[in-house]
Amino acid sequence: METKIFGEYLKDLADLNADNDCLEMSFTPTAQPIKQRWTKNKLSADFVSDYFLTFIPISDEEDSKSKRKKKLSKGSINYIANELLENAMKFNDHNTKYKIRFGIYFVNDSTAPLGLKIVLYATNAISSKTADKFESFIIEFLESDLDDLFMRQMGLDDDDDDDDDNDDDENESSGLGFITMCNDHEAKLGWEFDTISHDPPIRTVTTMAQLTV
Amino acid sequence: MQEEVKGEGYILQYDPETGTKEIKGSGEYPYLIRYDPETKRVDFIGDLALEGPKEYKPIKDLLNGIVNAEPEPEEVTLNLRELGFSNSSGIHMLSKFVMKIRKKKGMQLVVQGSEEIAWQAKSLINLKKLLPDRLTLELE
Repeated sequence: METKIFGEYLKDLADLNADNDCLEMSFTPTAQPIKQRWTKNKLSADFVSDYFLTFIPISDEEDSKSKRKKKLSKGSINYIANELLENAMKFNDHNTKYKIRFGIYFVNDSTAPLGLKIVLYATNAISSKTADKFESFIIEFLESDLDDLFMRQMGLDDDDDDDDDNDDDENESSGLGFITMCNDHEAKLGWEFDTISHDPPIRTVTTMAQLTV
Repeated sequence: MQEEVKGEGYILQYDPETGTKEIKGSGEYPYLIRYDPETKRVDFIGDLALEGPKEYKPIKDLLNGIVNAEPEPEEVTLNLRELGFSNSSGIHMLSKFVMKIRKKKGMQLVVQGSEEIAWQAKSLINLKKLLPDRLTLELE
């Protein structure tokens, strides 16, 4: 199996699994039209972010600052989970029967404010053409100042984007998802591309987000 | 007499007497976008988890209609305080709207958000970066 890794990626998820709780889900992309599947992204994200709260100790004397921290951390997990699922659904190669997989690990981390490291991932099959484009984007993403990349994506250096159906909107909006996860929600992102088989050709990509809360 | 247009997953209502416009999303995660031409304010209520730029187009068109009106408004307000969730496609739409206002010389934009809602507390500051001199961010 050929593998390529970018960014901050934990290769040995199985090791994490041994000592920590996780939730894993799998979706059969061809089972339903994408329209019907779409709401499951947010539904799944809501479930795992609600579940996250069970790992946080409840204190009787909770001040408003720690209440807010919990609420915002839950919101960040919800946002990131939804983004990973949306991308996996959107860029999945529907010519394969490969299942989309999504998971979240809750890892104890005594140095974190709420005592947890959260590792989220989503895996989907990807066509060679989409994979090549995605790899180029990831290289640009990892080399860029993300504030600058945001400005560029919004066309700050472009005076001619007044059209209503900008073809770039779809990719820009996915790019913005990674920028916001990393820059705003302080997630560390990493990717693994695998070639599962050559005949038939099946490639997969796993996007991972790590968040300390 | 209200005019009504039914689209895929949403209903747009327009009141020609008052100029009020509303878009109601009818999916699993409902939302309401309401524009009051008197106050030049758009209220966003609910969750925005739509699938990419195509599904956001009705909302984008409503927003663009406000800034392209004659005479042009001097100031537009986006009230996001009851918008509990937006995916990155929704943030993208809002960012593009700020870019639209950037091209309208002198037009002011007020963005009202909540410090208690994660995506707003974390990401709304980016809108200010796109229009530092003419965007007022009111987070509470």
